[in-house]
Amino acid sequence: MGEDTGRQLAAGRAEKFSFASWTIVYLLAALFIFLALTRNAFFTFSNIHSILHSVSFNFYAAIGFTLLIIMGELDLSVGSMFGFGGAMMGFFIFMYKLPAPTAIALTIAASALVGLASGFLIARFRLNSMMVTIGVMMAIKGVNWILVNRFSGRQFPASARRFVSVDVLGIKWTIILMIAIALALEILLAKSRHLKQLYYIGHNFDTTILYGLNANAVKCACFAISAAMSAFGGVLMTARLAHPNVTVGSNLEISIITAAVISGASIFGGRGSILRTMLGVTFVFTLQNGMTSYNINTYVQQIILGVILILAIYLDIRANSAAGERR
Amino acid sequence: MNLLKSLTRKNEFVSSAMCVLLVILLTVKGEVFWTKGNLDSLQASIAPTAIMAFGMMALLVCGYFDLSIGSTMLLAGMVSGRLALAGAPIYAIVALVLITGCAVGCTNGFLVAKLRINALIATIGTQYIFYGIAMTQLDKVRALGKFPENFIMLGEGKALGLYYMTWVTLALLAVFSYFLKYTPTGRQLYFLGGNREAARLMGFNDRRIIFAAYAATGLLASLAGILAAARIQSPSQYMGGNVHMTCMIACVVGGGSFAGGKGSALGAVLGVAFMSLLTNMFNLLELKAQLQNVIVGLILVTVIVTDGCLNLKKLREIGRA
Repeated sequence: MGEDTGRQLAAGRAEKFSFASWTIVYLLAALFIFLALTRNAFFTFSNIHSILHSVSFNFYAAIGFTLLIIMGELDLSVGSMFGFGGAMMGFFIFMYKLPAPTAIALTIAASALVGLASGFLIARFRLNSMMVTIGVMMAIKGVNWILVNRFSGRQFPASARRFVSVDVLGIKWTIILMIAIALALEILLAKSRHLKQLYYIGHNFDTTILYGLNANAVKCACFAISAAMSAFGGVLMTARLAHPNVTVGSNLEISIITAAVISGASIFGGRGSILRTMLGVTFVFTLQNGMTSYNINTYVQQIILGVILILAIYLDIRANSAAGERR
Repeated sequence: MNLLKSLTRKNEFVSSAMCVLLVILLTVKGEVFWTKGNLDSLQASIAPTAIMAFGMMALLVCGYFDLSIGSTMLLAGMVSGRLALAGAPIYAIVALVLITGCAVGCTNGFLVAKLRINALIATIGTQYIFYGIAMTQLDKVRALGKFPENFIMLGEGKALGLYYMTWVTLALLAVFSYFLKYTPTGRQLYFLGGNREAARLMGFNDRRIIFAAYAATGLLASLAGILAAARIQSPSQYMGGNVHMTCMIACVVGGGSFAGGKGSALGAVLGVAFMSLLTNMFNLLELKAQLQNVIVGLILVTVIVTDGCLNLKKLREIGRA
């Protein structure tokens, strides 16, 4: 169990596989069974496929987020970086008439720089990551508005649209990439010397520095990854919509925090797993899909999501205090 | 104590100096700045935000904050719309909305003080919840159109050339200055923010203080919501959009700190005045509204970084980092 590495080290004992940490699997299964039984159109290949297709975009934004939450940092700018990806792609394609691959590469590089900047500020001055990323979120949102307003109503050329919906073995490639990344990172987090560091940092930051890990560099890198992968997700989402849109990525951060916490990551750091985050993101978006199919008002959906978030955090705190950790 | 005093003075100096600079710039650049219409709209933008900033400042002083005040403000507007539609008399509207706001604040207080949920996550959650609740009322409230005349007078009425809401702000400024400086409970907020463990060991009931601070913040946010809704004459869905950010930045510009233990009521008003003057500048100099979001975000980051630097320096001096 990868997510217990830091804790095992501190407690000096090996923890056994516990079913409790996989609650998300039961939740997801229950949701699927419920929707499949009550909604006719739900359990069809095309519906599940299209849910997973949009889940995959949002999952890319959750990768860096999970790596950061393992270290006890929160990145609230994922939603606006998601939108930034789409807006910058539009900027490069419409303003400079660049071919799609170059535009996407430049977009991701620009986003990584933004992430690196906020990571640098947070690590160098030991700032509260939530506060800094809220500031970044607002600034980037403003940039998105300015950019998107400049080319509203214009469609991407086919080369910048088609590539998202290419099928590999009958399944969209973004879904396959999502599963591949989740499995690879899950294994690396458990086995790789470098990625295990994240758990140590999340568990006890000061000790890791005393032991000679370059914790600040790791943090910077993870903020850059988070921003770049969010932008990648945004690029794919915008390409699917065929034009940049201001609403892309709005409120995404709350879905992703909920997904991460509901799947067993702790906002205090030291716990979290990519595979389960993937299931968490699937859960949140399937829930939204299900609520929409029941014609539940979007605002009521927001209320429900907020309640789930607070409940999940509360249970996280309960679990931590049960484990004897005083916070 | 002397050091603390001079430090507070210095912090308020920064925000007042920035206000003066903006006023000078606006006097020189924008011809309409000193007209009656512009000064009135400045008052109407400063007063409700400042009322909320008092609550936010009290929370910041003890090291917490509340991101749900924008939603509380929106909810206050919607609830007063529903009540006005039902034909409730004006004092009943005001009383019930204030009770709603207090209940919202108590929810936040319960989550943060009793359940010990991280203030940021808890109030982001309630922000979404109360925004959702408020927006479900929107369709019903649309039928209202305009508030009754005597309710609008709450926002439009003037005494001695200033809006009622400005007088409310000034009264609250006096109350909060006195409360934070001279009452035992007010001083406890600073102790709590300065060193929570020590305050707890000395026997302060920190949970009760934080709970009360959240309840007060919710109450003030709903008061601001009533005044703002009365001023724009109808319940608007855009009310309270970014107000939690504006308030937080204003408080930190005005001398508060995210680490707690610092800040004053006067600083909160000065910070809000700075933010409102900045918005005013964007309007008068005809700069893009979207650019404002960028600037505000960058100011927030700058403020956090400076605040963090000072804090780190302080920690290094006492050898804790």
